[in-house]
Amino acid sequence: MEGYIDALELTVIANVTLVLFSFFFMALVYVIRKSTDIRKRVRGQRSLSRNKEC
Amino acid sequence: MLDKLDQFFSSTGFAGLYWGNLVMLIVAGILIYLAIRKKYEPLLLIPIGFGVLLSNLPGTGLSENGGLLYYIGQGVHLAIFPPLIFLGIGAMTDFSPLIANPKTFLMGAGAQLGIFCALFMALAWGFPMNEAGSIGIIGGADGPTAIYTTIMLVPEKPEFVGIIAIAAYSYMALVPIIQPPIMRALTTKRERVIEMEDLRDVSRLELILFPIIVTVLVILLLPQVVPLIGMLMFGNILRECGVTERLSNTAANELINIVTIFLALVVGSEMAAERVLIPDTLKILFLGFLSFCFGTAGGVLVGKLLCWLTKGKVNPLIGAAGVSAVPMSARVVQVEGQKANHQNFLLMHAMGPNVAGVVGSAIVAGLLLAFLK
Repeated sequence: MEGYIDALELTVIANVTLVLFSFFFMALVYVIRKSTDIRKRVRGQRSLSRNKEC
Repeated sequence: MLDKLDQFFSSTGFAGLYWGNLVMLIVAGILIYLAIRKKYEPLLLIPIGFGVLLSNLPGTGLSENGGLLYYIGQGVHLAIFPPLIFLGIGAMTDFSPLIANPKTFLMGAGAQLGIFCALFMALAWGFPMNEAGSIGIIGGADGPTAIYTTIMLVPEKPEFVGIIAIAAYSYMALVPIIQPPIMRALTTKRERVIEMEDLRDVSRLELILFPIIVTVLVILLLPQVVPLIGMLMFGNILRECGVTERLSNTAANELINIVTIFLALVVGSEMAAERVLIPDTLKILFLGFLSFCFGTAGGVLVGKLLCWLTKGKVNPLIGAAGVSAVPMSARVVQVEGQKANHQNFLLMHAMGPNVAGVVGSAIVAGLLLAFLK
């Protein structure tokens, strides 16, 4: 019986870890993507203002 | 004269041959036949089959202390080869489908269900907890992870590695037969015809940051799994950084090929008849099969959940690829998707859960090691 309880604990912890990892991964990709977009936009604005100066 | 003949006969392998060896020689023949004729994982089944052949010819002493395979086998028993295989896999793997659609990671996580189902069934069948864990990991459908976990969890039984590896690689080869009925049973025709939107382009920065962040995060969480995840992500950064092409090519070709030869040969050579022809072997093969089936079902069910949550934007079939078995299960998804809808191209979408399954099974392996070792 003790083996089953250990296995159940392991199953719960493993699945919670996997789900949390999945959500963390999703959030991370979102943040990196947004920061990349912001960088691109800033770069675009800079080159636009440089072109205007010329 | 007769004495001399008798002496000569007892020095040959024929004298030590018994029915068990003959059975295993037939098994070796079947593995080699499946690899050559049916093209089932030939890169693995040929060396494994030949290893079985070598270890079941009596009197060679190849696997005994001092024999060639004994020394090569240290790469397996000291858990060196599986991480090196992961290095090569990392150098071959494109994580962009996963980064482009990160919610597919949930399917890779869901497909680990088989590991836990098999763990409980193995316990119910009387296996001790550590052996049950290594049987369960067959459902991760990832050869190096299964071998590594077994070496760590059941070091006292070297033959266990052979049986687990044979089960894992055989079922991986049989993915096109095992998965489709489960995929069809759990999905409706309406779900199978769903066409998914094209994946976005993934920037180079994202591809470079991915292995670094995953390495830091997973290893901080599960230090036990550093040899697998560390090597996988090291191989991947060699591929994605764009300045180490030679190293990346070596890891993805020469290194992985050399290590595969040694690993598979040694795994086969662990299958000596006296160790393998026991009732437990059949139990392990059966539990491994169930583990694979439940893993597929888990991935598809999470796919259905995502389909419902996204209001039909996700085709649940791609969840079946979460069992790893890269890229075979993603190909199976593509074939099944096209059977339902000729315009459906699910291969790249299925690669997301497919590579997520590799990371997911390594995470579960780390947890098994943390709890059971």
